[in-house]
Amino acid sequence: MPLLELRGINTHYGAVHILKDVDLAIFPGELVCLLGGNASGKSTTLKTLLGMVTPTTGDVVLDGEIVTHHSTSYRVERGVTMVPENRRLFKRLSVKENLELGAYLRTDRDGIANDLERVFEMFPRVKERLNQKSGTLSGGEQQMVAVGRALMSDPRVLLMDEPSMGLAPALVQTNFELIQQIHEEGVAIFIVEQNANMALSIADRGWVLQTGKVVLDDSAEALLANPELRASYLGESGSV
Amino acid sequence: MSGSLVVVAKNSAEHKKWKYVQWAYLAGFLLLTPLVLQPFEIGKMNRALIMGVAILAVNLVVGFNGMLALGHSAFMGIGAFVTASMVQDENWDYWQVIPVVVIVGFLMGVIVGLPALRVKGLYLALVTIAQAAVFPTLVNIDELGIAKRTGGPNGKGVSEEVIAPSYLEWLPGVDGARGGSAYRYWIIILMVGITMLLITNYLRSRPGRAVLAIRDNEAGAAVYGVNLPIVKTMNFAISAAVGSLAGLMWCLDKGFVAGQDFTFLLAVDLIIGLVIGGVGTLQGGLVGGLFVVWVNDLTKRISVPLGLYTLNGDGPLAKAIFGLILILFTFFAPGGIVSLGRMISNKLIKVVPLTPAGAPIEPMEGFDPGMESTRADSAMKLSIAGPVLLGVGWLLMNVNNLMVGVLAFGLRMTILVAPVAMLVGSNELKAHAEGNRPDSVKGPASMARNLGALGFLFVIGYALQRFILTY
Repeated sequence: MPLLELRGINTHYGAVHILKDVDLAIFPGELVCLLGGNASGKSTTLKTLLGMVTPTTGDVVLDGEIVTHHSTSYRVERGVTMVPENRRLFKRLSVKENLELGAYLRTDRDGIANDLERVFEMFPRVKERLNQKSGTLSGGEQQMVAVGRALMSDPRVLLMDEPSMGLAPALVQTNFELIQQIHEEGVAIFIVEQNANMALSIADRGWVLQTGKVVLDDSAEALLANPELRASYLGESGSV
Repeated sequence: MSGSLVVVAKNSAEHKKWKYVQWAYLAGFLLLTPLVLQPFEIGKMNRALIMGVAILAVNLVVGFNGMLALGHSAFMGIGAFVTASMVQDENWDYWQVIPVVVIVGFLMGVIVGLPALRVKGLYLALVTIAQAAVFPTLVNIDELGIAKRTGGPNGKGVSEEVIAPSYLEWLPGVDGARGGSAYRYWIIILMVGITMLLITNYLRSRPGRAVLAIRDNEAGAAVYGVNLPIVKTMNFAISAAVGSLAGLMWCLDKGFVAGQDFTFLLAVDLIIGLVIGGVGTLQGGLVGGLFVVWVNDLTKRISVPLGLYTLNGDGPLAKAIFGLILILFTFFAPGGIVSLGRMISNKLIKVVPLTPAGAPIEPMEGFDPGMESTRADSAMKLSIAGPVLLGVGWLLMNVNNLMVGVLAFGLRMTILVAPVAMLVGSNELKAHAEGNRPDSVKGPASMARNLGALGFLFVIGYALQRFILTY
């Protein structure tokens, strides 16, 4: 049974039809990606999954339960979390406060302490910077805090909005290694990316979104080999 | 002098020393206020503190939650009228009214906040401006016995006076002629202190964190499950409750409440205080309250000799001069007085947090300058400048001109930095004894230490003398 699923989603912003009959399913422990150019509806798909946008028709299904009209906090409590685009840290709060806000809905103190240790193990640098205002960190460190903050909510599925955006090329590589590391711990990951090459290199499956429609739905290898995708996203040389 | 005079690690023994000096100055300021000031000036100080609490309430919404709400004069008015009515009509004591006022303020906050917080930015500003504009007319409504309770257009007086009971007459300033306003000063100080403590704790709590997270990044907060409407509305209601409490203090201090005291002009004063004091800082409210009340008073007095005619004693140019000062502040202290103060104190003492391992967080320039240190020289200059400026201020005091008087006061206050010179001097001497400084440091350092200690002794002695003379 899929962990998180979109069934026949149509979304409108006013009169504008954004998502058109989108179907997708994320299974437990999977690493999947959604590719698409600007204004293809990637962000709206994420917002729909998390409940920040309500679709006009169709259902969002979490663990077999229809949650289309449930709040974001309801879904976060049941194991869905997002690492937002551009990290979106609480810049005037300390690193520690940022991490604690990740566990905002949790009440199990022992579990929170355990997860904090896990984040420190994964990112020793975050521990060093614990008392510093997060706005004063470097881009790479901010990305670590953003991922750490998301892990603090003990997610079963992690949605990542453009994780490579605004990072130096070297950091993009580290970042994707990081994503794989989290994935190996059993967390399902849903990456939304423009950087198709990098995303497909680590993903199991993927979808391609074009003007609100899923135009391709295949395994990562097949997508990488797809001439249509190569032409429109990867360019001739295979790099974006 | 580039960088800071001295850099200390957070929570180190040295940092604690600086904290003690700060607290001692605060305590001295609080103790001397009711002793040194004239009774009518104590009244102004009370007013400033009450405005401070109201500005703190506005700050909770505007500064800490990032919502542009401008109508807190109405919540102040509600608190003041509820107090006046309960004390005058129902014969309650002021302290018994406190929970009532807080609950009524909170509920009003929910009622206004629920619909108002659905809109954002300028639209929220518009809704709350309307709230402030409509409030003074609401108290005149004849229905439901409102006008009877509020006194309608005539306002409502409270005949019961707030007088110190015999077992509290030992409080500084509380005796004879000054008793009334000085006693109220101490009540207000107590209430301000408790309010500050509660709000500090609130902002550190889980809901408080959520409030700050919404300010920094609304979408980011929502992603981690912060329920935006509930947290925003609760915060608005808490802010309204604090505003109402300021209204209670207003009634307690003045003994008279009228609708025209709580017009939009008061709301504007609150916003001015907030911006000038420091948006999003806890101290900003109190500093802003002091600014709004005292600078308004000062501009009235300055403008009297400039004006062509005077209306009820205020100079006609008072508002223009006040406006000019506001403009100057936005240019030279854009982050408010609190951030200006932090900038200046950072030049003297910079506090740097440490990592859990104990290493200073970068950039740690000047944490320990070693043999290259020029701190002793700077401290020596500081220790000389203090007494010299004090002397100049003393001479200028005799010029009978308000502007010169204010300048002279500022010059005399520079002696307050004496303990900085003293502590830096003794630190440098200690470093020299440990072999971390060249011998040339010894002379200036001991001079800074001794002269600074003398200056500090002078400050303490002066305060003690004022205390004994008037007590």
